Amino acid sequence: SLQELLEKLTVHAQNDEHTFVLDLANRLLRQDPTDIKAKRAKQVALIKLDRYSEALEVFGDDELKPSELALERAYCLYRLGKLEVAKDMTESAIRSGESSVTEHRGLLHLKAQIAYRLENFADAKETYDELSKGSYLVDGEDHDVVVNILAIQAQQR
Amino acid sequence: KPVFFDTAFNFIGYEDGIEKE
Ligand SMILES: [K+]
Repeated sequence: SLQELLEKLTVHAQNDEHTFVLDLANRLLRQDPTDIKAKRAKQVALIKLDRYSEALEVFGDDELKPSELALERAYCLYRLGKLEVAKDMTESAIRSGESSVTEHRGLLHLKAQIAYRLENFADAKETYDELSKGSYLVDGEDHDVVVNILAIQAQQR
Repeated sequence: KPVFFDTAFNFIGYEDGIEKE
C-alpha cells in the first residue's frame, strides 16, 4: 500500500528522496486529509527541501498542542527570520517537559542558534554548555558544538 | 564571519529518531 511505501521510504530518506516522500504524502492526503503520518512526512519533506512557509501550513494551529512538533515549527520560523516567535516557541516547548529526549536536544540546539542569530552570545554559550553535559545523539554533534562555541568566542572578541 | 553549523536541522527527521545528512 501507499502507507507501507511511505513508511519504508521515510526510514533512511536522503536528499533526493524528499521530493518522492512529498509526492507520496500528497497522494495519501488526497485519499485521507486527516492522515497524521502523511502530514508529518509532508512537513519533514518540505523542511528538508527548504520550503519552510509551506511546511508551516501542513498543520493548522488548532491541530497541535503548543509543544507538539515544536522543533519542526520553530525551526521553520527561525529559517524564515521570525526569530522572536521562534525563540518563544522553542523555550516554551523546552519548559513544557513534554518532548522526547531527541526532540528536547534538538530544541536546545535551536535555542542556541536563535540566541546566536540574535547576538545573545552569552545565552548561546550557556545552552551549548548544557548540551555538552548531555549525551551526543548525532554523528559529528560533538565536533559541531565545538565549532559553534568557537564561533561565539570569535564574535565576543 | 566565523563558521557556525545548523545543528538543529539534524534533529528533524521522519521518525522521532535521527537523520544526519
Ligand atoms: K523529530
